[in-house]
Amino acid sequence: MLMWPLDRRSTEALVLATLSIFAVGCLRFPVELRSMFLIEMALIVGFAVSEAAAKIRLRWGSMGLVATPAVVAAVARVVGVSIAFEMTALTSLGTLALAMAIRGERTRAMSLVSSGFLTLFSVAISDDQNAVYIAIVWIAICMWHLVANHWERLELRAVENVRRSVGVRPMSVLMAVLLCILGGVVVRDRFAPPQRFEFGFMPASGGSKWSDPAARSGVATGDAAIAAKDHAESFGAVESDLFLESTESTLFDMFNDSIGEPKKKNKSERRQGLNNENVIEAHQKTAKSEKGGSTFSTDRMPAKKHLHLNDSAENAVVQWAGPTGIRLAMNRYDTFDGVQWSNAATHRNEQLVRAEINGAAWFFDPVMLPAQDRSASPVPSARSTSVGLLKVLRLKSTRIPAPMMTSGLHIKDVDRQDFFGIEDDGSFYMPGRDQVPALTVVNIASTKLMEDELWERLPSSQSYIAMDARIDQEKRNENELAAKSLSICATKWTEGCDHVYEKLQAIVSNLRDDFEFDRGYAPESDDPVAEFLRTRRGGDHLFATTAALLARELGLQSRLVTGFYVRPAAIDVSAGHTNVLPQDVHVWAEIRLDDGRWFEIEPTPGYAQPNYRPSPWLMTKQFAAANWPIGVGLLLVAVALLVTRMVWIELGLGIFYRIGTALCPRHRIAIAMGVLQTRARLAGCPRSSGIPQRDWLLAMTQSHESVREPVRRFCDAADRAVFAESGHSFIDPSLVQEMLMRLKIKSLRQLTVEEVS
Amino acid sequence: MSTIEIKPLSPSLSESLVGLRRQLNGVLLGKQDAIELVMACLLSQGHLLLDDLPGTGKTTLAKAIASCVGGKLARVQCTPDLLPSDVTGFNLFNQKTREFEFHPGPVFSDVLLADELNRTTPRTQSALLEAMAERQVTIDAVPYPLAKTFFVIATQNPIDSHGAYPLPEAQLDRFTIKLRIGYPDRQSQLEILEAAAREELQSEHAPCVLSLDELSRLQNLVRMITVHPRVQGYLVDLVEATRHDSAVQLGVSPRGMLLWQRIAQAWALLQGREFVTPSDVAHVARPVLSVRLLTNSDDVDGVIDRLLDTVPAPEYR
Repeated sequence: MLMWPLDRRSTEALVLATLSIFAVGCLRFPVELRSMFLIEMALIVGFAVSEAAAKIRLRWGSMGLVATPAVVAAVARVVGVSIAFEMTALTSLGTLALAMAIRGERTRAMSLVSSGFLTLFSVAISDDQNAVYIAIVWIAICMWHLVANHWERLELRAVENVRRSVGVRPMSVLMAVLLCILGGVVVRDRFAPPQRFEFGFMPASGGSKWSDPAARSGVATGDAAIAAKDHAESFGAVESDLFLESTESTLFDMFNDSIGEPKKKNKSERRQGLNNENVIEAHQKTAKSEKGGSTFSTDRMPAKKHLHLNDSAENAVVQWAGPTGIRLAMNRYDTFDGVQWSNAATHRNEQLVRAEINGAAWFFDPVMLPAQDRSASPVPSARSTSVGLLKVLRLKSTRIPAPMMTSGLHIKDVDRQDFFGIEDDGSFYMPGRDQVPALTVVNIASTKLMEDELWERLPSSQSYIAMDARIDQEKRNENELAAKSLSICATKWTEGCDHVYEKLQAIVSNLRDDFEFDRGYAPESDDPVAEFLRTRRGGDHLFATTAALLARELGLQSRLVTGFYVRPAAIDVSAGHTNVLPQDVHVWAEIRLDDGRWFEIEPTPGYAQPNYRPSPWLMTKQFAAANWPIGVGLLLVAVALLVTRMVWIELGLGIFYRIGTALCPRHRIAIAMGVLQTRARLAGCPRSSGIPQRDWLLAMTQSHESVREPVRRFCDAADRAVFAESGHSFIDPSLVQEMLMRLKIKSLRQLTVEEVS
Repeated sequence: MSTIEIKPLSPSLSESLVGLRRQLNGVLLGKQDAIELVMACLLSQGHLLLDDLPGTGKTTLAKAIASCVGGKLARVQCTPDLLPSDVTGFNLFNQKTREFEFHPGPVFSDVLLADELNRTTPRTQSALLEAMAERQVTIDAVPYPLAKTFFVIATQNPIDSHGAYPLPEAQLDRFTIKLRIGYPDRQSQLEILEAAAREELQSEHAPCVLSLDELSRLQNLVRMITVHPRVQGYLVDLVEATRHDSAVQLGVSPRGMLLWQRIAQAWALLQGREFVTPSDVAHVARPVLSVRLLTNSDDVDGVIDRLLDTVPAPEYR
């Protein structure tokens, strides 16, 4: 009796140490050579077992146990496989914990400390979300162990007088786990996505002195960066584009950077062979950023790898204060020739509608204003409009990046009609200047679109045939293959959809689900769309182009949009805005509604879909339509539950009693009375608070001698437990059980009925 | 004191109590509950007011108690011309010895039966005040102690109140409980008739089953019955409730509260317990409150029921 608690303590410490090694193993297993790892683990297990079983205890067993990881690492290095230094160190700590747990009473506390550190550290550096469960399990077991330890020590010291209280252990473990979960819920989503340490803390490569072949990744990028950063004269030798990149770039440059440069056209027919000395290589390079934004090619080279050292807010092109996960459009293209997008529309309008709202001068796009009262009050209703703030930092363009359905602009203190205009393609811009002045803050009002309108307002059939003619027929013939596969896709993907919006959604979800987003993928053929449909991978320009073309197959009017994506992760919480960086350039598509407004679709996976909120009515309709079998099933289940509710309540109360008495055995009587009074309430004979519980019970059962006797016994015992001088509040559980067995809801109901009759 | 383990009753005491219970039940058929309360009142050193219609056995019960306890029974038939000295006693000048001699009145007894107490004048009623509360009388400035187990059973007749003097509040507060015996049920009445025909009804002069010494020990035991702080809290809650109730003119006094606790202790002892439960308190609440609550309406019982219903009783925990 005196020995077994000590036994268990070592078991728990062993389990904890094993758990910590498991946590490290989770980090190591996926990246290391499996066989080597398994050999190491087998050795550790072997040593640990021989240590734990006293019979076959080796002389230097625990030494061997602790040394195993280091020895294996050395052997591995000799063999040519490398195990990261820090992983060996962590595993050694785990084996040390194991050895100390086995070894004896005095080292066991140390074992707890090291296994705890190891577990928490491994979990903290793990990328996997599920790793946190290992920590929770560790905490729960440790809690259990510590509580048991505490009580057992007390018990050993005062054998006579300590009452065994089982409730403390499950209770404290439960509390610990709940606390962990609660803490997790509280801090969830409060952290930015994980970032690398800027200084060389744990990952072992890329320091300024040495690097390790086993390192997974490192600070900066290893040797090249070291050379460039440490020695200014090594600049030329490194040949890095790092220092050539301009800080202020046009959208066009950004696209070239992020998505890849358009392929150079085959210019052979214009070329003539010349002597070597006449070719000036530098000309081609300087031409880079002077290409305009009037066309957008879908046939591009793979994106170049960048050597940006940091992507901090300093590089932001614009800052956006408003909803995140949206797109800020700059250029729109409505005509596609198989490779190039260009704009043919003429929406140019430099006469915006001026309106004063709260003393501020706003300039609205007449197209976006509500049709009926355009003259009377040229202001869109505040309810359907959201206003965002855009701050232009390093954008070399007259165009203003704006979310979809932008209805108007306002710049503080600027009240000049001729400052704002609509470009041919429908984007807002500031005419008559080189670029939007840096640090300009633009208030942008955009109309919120309800999903209802999409269902009602999408042109239902073939109304786009006329527009379709605009596409250069010859070019189209050239890309016969693409056209064919597009129409096949359109038919196949929209099978079974009735409404045109449903079809559109099917197309978008197909693209998002079945295609792979990869900006680095280089198309090989001249027909990027066809190849994209075949290989199912490509950059967002291909997603957007394909979606736009497929929408045309449905008879919808569509256009390609380029601009920026406001990454939700890039929000600067303290400043309240989001930094839009050059690499946030993005391509997507817009579809025209029958009233001339355009709404966007997001076919590229990884980018948030635009949020078209359905009205409650539509939501209900959709829900009912989608879930009616489930609804009927739920209703049936609900009816069944209602009919059999007493069974479930009884069951629930039984479980409540079990758990409650396990957690706090001191309150067994109160829990039993709680159960009983709940039953009585359900049976229609509740106790009024003025009647002492004993009187109530006895009065209720007075006509049934067989029930009355156990009840009286229970009451006597309970009275004694609660109100007698010693007040120990312990009661024979069997008395409580018997009473609870006799007084089920059903029997209580019977008693009540009999009493009334 | 704290280490004394109260074994509620030694076998002999317990036997005496059982005998007392049996005797009284034999005298008053079919009234177990009332008899239990009477016994509790006796053990709590309280005084008993029997308030009932004529012929329901008030006097019979009082006489039976006196004879069972084996003490001296004194009886005062209260009439309007009864004088205080007829109750307490008086000094008489002895011509021979040329000294005043004290002639003790009926209060110098163990059980005093004051029959039809409301028929006598307030003056005589007040003479009982000191005797009941302090167990002593003062005659001509000389205090005379009464017996330790001095027990007053007063009876009064609620109807035919013409020419009666209702007891003053001060007097009422000195009684622990007021009991209504009420008519016996049918079965008991049949038994009464049968017993009377056979002249077997136990006479009031029952044999002594509980000596004064035993009674005194029992009364001491009652004082040691545990009252848990939560039960005391319940008692205080009830008392406060009587004071704050709109239907009550006069609530329970601190003395009333003490008497209540004592009789609850006695009740617990009679149930064979060494501690008081909330249901003991609730059980004796009606007789305790009916003697001392002055209500606006005639429906005292209704008010008491309401009070008991509204004050939450301590629960098991």
